[in-house]
Amino acid sequence: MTSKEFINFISKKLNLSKKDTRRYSKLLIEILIDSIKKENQVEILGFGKFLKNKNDKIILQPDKEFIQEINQK
Amino acid sequence: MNYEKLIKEFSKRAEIDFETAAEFIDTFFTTIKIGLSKNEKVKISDFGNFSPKVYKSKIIKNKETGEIENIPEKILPHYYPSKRIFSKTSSKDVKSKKELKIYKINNEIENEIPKEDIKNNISIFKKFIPFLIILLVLNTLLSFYISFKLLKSRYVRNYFYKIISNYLDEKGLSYNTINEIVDSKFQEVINKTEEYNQHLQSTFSSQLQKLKESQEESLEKLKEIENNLKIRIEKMIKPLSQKRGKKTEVKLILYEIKKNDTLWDLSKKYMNNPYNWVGLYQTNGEKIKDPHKIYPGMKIFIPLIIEKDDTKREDKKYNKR
Repeated sequence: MTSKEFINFISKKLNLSKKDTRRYSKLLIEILIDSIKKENQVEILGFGKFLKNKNDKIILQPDKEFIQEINQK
Repeated sequence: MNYEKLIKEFSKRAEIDFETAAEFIDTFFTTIKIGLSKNEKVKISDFGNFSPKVYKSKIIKNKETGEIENIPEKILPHYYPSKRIFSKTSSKDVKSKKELKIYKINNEIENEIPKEDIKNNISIFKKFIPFLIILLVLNTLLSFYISFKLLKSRYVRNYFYKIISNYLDEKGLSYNTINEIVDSKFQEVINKTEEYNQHLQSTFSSQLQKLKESQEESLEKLKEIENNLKIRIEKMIKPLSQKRGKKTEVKLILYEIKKNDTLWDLSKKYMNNPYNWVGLYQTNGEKIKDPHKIYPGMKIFIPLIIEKDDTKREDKKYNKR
């Protein structure tokens, strides 16, 4: 899935314009980056945690629900 | 950061309700889930890539119980952050591969030799440059001297003589035969040079003879012109001398005309009579075409008239009587 397809999918689901979805997604990413910078982690329910590694690398620690969902399908 | 805080901040910045913000974030991450569940790679620009990683099934022995366990196949989501995020979040400077290579090399160089040391080394080297030049010159002179001495020495000459003699023996030649060959060649060269010299002499002598003949002809012509001139002048002067009863002698002079000179003045000065300008004009008829136009730098013949008085002799004779 490319970023274009990704934005199209969200805009269809929420009945939003592509411009707005792009703006919102950018904003969300910026908030995520800032929070990782400040607190070194961000928790998202039903998805997982974005953490900072020892080597300053960002890792995704997925939730159990998320793993189950993927493996079921 | 909690999930609630995230939604609140997002609603603040985007100026949306809390519910819509929550809905957007939910859909954002559910779409990623859907993509991964289809075993597809999800690319989000400026954020990173999400891809499913397959871990194959394993059989493990439990150390505590000693039982054998079978771990089934697993698919785990994997996140590869984009370079932009990595550069923003990490405390280190992140650069491209090319930049990193250059950065590493520069760092190595800087660590190995500090800049101040390099400057000092260069300044020291600059001080030693004249000494180095002198050393080089001395070295070349010494090498020349040694080579000259070696060539002059008897041992070296003998050594070369031996080498040459061995080489000649191998070829079946001796010094005498070589000398004969060299002499014959030398004689050939001498003969050729002699022939060439003779050829040159013959050609030059003929040309010289021609030149001499032409010179003699020109001299004869000049003599004829002189004689003609003398005859002309005598014809002119004779009647005048007869009138005066004086003896005269004539000498030709080459005269260079100066500024403000006229034939009238010249004849008055040298020929004792200004009316003789006609004679002057006739003698130099080849050079002077118009008697009113003579220019400075022009060379003309002037017949000098020298008078000899016979009256004194006659007086002496008369007194004796």
